[in-house]
Amino acid sequence: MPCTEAYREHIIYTFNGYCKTVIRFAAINAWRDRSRRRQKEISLEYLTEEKFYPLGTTDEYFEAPYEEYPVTVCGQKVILTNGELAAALLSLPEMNREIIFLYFFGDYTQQEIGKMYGRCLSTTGYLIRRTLKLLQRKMEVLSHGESEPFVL
Amino acid sequence: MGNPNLLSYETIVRATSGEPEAVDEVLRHYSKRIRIAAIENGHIDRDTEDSIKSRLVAALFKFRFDEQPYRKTE
Repeated sequence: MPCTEAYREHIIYTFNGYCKTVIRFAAINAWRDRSRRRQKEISLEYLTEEKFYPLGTTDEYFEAPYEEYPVTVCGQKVILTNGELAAALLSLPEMNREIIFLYFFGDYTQQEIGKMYGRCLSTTGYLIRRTLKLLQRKMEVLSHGESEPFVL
Repeated sequence: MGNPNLLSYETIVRATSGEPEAVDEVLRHYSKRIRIAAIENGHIDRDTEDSIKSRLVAALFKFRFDEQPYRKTE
């Protein structure tokens, strides 16, 4: 590119326009960021004075011991500390509850459980998965208060 | 030549190659414009001014010379 007078003049004007554009868009960006921040920020005073939002919590672990929910499975008494879990467990059919208990806490294999209940290995695995899913659904219903039809 | 109020070609070349004095001169040349752009609620916002300046400096190095000059229309 020859360094002619016209070329220099062109560069000067182009650079001027370039800088102006950069400044304009930088200002627009800064303004946009600022307004976005303002939308999301809430003043601490507003929270504490208008909404009475507690800024700290006190530990309740030592004041209130866990409530205990005894559940009887396979003739053994199991003490649960989660009320929702206990309620969901109690609402399960007897056999599913026992299978879950034997598999996760009784150290039985799926094959042994299957023999005890007259089912084959794959059926037992399916029952366990199915029961866990049902348990999860029941606990969701208990904690959210929604009822969803689900059949085992 | 052209508009005498604009930066000279030599300054532009030096500024885009990163020479601190030339970059400073560019910033000084556009300081008024930057301050006007940074006005918020009637007064100049310092943070905005700084962010525009840093953006301008970053953009200086992206300026390209290899565009063809426009043909002057007769």
